[in-house]
Amino acid sequence: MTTTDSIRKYLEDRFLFEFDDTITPDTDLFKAGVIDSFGYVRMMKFLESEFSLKITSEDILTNVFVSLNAIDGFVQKKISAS
Amino acid sequence: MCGLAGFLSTSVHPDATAGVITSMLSNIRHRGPDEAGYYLDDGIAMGAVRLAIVDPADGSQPMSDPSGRYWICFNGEIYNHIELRAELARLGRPFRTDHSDTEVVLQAWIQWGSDCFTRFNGAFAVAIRDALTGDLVLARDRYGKRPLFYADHGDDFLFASEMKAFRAFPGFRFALDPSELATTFGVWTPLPDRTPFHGIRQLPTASVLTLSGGRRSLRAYEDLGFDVPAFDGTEAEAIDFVRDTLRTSVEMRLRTDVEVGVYLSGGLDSSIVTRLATRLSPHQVRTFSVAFQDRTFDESDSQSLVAEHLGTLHCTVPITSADITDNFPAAVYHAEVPTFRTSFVPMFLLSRHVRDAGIKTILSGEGADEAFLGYSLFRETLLREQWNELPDDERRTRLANLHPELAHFGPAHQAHLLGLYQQFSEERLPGLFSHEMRYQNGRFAARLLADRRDPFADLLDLVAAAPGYAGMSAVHKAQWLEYKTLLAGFLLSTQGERAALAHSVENRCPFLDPAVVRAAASVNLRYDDGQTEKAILKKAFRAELPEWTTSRPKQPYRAPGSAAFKDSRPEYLELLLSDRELAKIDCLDHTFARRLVDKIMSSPVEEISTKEDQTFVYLLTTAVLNQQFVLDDGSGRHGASVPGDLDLRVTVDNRRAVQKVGER
Repeated sequence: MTTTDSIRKYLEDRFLFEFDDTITPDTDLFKAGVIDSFGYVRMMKFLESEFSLKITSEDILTNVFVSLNAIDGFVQKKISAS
Repeated sequence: MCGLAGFLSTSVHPDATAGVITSMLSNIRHRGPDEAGYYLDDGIAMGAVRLAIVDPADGSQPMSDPSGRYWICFNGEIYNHIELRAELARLGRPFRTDHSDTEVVLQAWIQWGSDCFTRFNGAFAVAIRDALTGDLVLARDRYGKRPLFYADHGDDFLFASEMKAFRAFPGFRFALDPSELATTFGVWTPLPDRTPFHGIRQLPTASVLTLSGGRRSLRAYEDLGFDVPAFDGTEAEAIDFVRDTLRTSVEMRLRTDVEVGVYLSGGLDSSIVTRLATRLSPHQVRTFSVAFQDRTFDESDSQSLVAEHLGTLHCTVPITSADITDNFPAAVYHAEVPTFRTSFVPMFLLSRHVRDAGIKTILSGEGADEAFLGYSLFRETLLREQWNELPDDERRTRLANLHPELAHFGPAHQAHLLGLYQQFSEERLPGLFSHEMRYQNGRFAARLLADRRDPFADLLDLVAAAPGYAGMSAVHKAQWLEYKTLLAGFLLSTQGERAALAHSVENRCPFLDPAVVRAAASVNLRYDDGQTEKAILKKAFRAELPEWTTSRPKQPYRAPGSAAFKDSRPEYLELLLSDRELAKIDCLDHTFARRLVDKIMSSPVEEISTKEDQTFVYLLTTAVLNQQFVLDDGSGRHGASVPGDLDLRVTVDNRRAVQKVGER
C-alpha cells in the first residue's frame, strides 16, 4: 500500500466517509465536517506512528493539514528528508 | 409557572371547540396540575394549566380585566410584580386580586401596551386577547426561560407552551423538517424561532407576535442587555456591585407562597445561589443534586462539601447509566427536540425527586457562564483571534493556561493542539469565528441527513441581520451566540424548563436577571483579563464558600452518552439497530447512519470521538421523536410510547366564556 493509500484508508475508516466527487483529495476536511478537534489530534498521532515521523511545532505552524493532498505532500516531504 | 394553549380557528365546529382545547391542555397538564381553565369566544379558544405558586387562591386563569375586554393566559413569574402593582395602582389601574402577578401582567399590558414587557423582571410566556378588537398578542421573556410555539394549520393558527399540545388539534400532523434538523445538528439547537418539526415555529426570545385583522407582526422588544459601558469604579466597588446585584436577584426569586429549593451542582454558580438563598430564605434551604455512579461525571464530593459548609438540607439523587437509558424516551418526549447530550435525562429525574419531596420551585445557577464569560470557549476565541500576532512562546503559555491537562500529556500533545489552533486562527464562517471549532462536530452530525444542506446557512443569515452584531468583538459575538442558541435552545429549555416542568417544578435563574446580565457585562469590560474565568465573581464570594469551590477548574456538567446505550441495550435501541426501523426516518442518509451505529456499537468507548458520540445521541433522539410524534402508531413499542390524554372533567363556571377544568 502506498503512503497515499495508507493515509486515505485511515481517513476514510476513521471519519466514516469516502473520497468522491463531493469530498476530493483537495477538500478542506474541517470545512467538510469530516475532521474535528479530537480527530485532528488523533490523525497527527497516526502520522507520527505510521510513518515514524516527528511532527515539530514548526511543521505545524507552517503547514496546513486539512486535505488529503496537503497531508500526503507533507508526509512525503518528511520521509524523503529523513 | 404554568402552561398555555389555544387556537384561532374557522375550521373547528363551535360545539367541538371546548373538547379540542381541553385535549390540548391535557397534553401539557404536567406543566400545571393544580387547576386548568379556558376561554372561548368567536373563533378563539385559549386556556391554561396552572402550577399555583403566587396567589394560589385568586390567581386562576384565564383571567380578565374587570371590563371583560382583555383576557390573559400566562406562563411564568414576574419577580418585580409587587413594585409594578404599586406603580399601576398609582396610575389608577383596578385590581381584583391581592397579589396575583398574572393580574399585574394584564394591567401592565392595558396600561403600557407592548412596552410593558421591557418592565418585567421575570420568566414568562403570555397570550392576551382583546375581545373588542379580536387582536391576539403572544410574547416571551428576554432569555428564553419560558417556551411558546405556534403553527399554521390551513387557515387556523395554533399556539402552546409545548408542541405536544398540537397533537390534539383535529388533523394536525407532525413531520420532521430536514433543513431544520440540519441546523439543529450543526448549531446544537434549533435557531431561536425554529423547531425540528415542519411548520412549527417558536416565538423568539424578547419578542412580541401580534395577530390583528388577518395581519401578523413579529418584533423584538429588547436586546440581550450586555451592550453597556464599562464599570466605572475600583475593583472593590465592582465586587460589591456584583454581590449586591446578585443578592437582590435571589431575594426577588424567593418571592413565592411556597418553599423554594436550590439545584446544587457543586460548581461555583449554584454554590453562590445556595449561599445567597441560605442567607435570605426564612427557613433552612433544601438543596438537590445528581450523583453519577460513573465517577467521570460525578461531582457529589463537591456538592456535599458546599452543602455542609452552608448548612443546607442536602439531598442527592443517585443516577446510573441504566437510569438514563430507562428514562430516555420519556425525557425526549418532554424535550421535544433532538439533542446532542443525554444530560437532560438526569435533570428530568432530579425534578421528579424534587417534586416528590414537596418542592414546587427551585433556583439554579444557569446563565452565569454566559454572563460572566465562564466557558473556555470565550478564552479560546480571544486566543485564536490574537493567534497570528502572538510570539510562539506566548501561544504555548496561553494554550497551557487554557488546557491545564496538557501538562499530563507531554510536548507532543501540546504540539498537536498548537496545530489545531493554527487551523482555526482564520475565520471560515463569516461572523461565527468563535464557534468554528465547535461547529465542526455539527458538520459531522449533519451528514446524518440525505439532503446535504449547509447546516450554518440560516445561522449566517440570522447573525448577518442581527442589529449591532457585525460591530461586536469576537468574544461578544460568542456571548451573543451562546445566549441565542445553547442557553435558550438547550440549557434553559431541554435540560432546564422542560425537564423541570415534566414533573411540575418551576426553575428560577438568578443569573438571568437583566440587572445581573448588565452588571456582569459592565465588570467584564473593565476587569476581565481574558485569562481568568469569572474572576470578579469568584472574588465576590470567595470568603463565603469552601476554598475548593472558587479555586478548582470548571467542570462541565455531563452525563454518560453512547456508552450507556451500548452497555444496557434498551429495547428501543432497535430503532437504530434495525434497518427496517431506521428506514422509517425518511430524511436520513441511511448508509451513513448505519455506518455510524455499527461503529459505535462495535468500538471500545475510548475509540468513540466526541462528535461520533454526539451524532449518535442526535440520531437516537431523532428516532425516538419520530416514533413518538411523527409515526405515532400508538403501539408503545420500544418503550418509547407517550403518555395518553388525561381524563378531564369540565365544569361550566361562567356561561359567557370561562370554564374551569378539574381532574376526575
